[in-house]
Amino acid sequence: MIATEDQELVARVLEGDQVAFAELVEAYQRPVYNLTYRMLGEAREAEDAAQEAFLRAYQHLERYDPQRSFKTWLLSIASNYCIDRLRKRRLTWLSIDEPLPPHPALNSDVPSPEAATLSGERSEAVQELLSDLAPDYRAAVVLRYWYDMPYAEIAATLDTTESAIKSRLFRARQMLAQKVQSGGAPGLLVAMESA
Amino acid sequence: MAHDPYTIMISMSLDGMLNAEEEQELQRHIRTCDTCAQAWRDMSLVETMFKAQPMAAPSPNFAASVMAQVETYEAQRRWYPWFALLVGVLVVAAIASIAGPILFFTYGLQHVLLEVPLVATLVGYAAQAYGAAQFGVELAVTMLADWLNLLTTDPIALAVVVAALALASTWIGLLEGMKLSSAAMETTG
Repeated sequence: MIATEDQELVARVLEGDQVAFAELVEAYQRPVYNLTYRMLGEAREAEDAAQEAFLRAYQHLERYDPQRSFKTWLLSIASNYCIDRLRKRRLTWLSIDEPLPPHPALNSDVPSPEAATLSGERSEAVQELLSDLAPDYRAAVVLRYWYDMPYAEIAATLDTTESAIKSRLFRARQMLAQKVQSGGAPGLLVAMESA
Repeated sequence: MAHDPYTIMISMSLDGMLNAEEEQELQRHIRTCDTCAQAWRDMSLVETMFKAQPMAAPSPNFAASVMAQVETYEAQRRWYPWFALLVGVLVVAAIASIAGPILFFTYGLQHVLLEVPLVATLVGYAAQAYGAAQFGVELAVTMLADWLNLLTTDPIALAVVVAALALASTWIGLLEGMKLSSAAMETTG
């Protein structure tokens, strides 16, 4: 969907046309869901988060600046929501003083929606690597790899500076490389062999 | 040798952020530095791995679920102003019912209001109605007390009342019995 179409749909939604919003949901459900899934690592939680992102976008649509890309604005809402959720999750884990559970993607009883289309081993290896990154770093990595966003757009999405994004991506890559070097992601090697 | 500047350059190179000169410098360094060469291989491996991952897709009913939530939100938004108004009115009424009389009599506002003819007339009617109701209640209470006093102190009066009640109940019983027997005769006849 091109940007001008988005602006037209947004204008129609602001006039009370819910069908126009349904079109926006259809167009961006996959990018938004992919972001929440890569950030949170669990299918059901990711669906909840993606739905919440769309609902928040609908509730605050009058704040949307038509000069900006609607997709970037939407992803910004989703990523900020996921970052908050990950921080709360971390606080909950720390407050109950229990050992960290295994990554949700590995023990979820809900079949992943992408299971039919993605290679499970590679997907798990990637999620395992992502799960070790701090929420801010994770968001930068996801937006860089899956959305191919330049630094400036990632910075706009995460409401920060380009130099901060450059630093986050560098630190994140360093951590991921160290984990690969130390054999901390065994699924990665299996996945690369089968790739 | 300090590796940090070159690992930053590796990261930027993977993002296509280096110019040709910087790229050449990085490649020259990687050829001579095992640590940075390893970092390059590891970061490239991660890069390949992540870029090979397709977008994850939500469940087929995702869009419908979002629109159902939007509909619920819209319904709440439609009712919210009326609900807020109702709550506001109730709160104001509650405050007025408590604070109003206190202020009214504390500051002697009744004299000001009573100067308005309509208010004075209404207050007059209300006072008369209140007086009449008060008189009626007082009369009923006095009569009841007198009767109770008479019944507890005068055995003859008590006997007369008991006899009257017994006679009345007998008559009521007889009348009800007659009604039942006539109804039975009608149904059999």
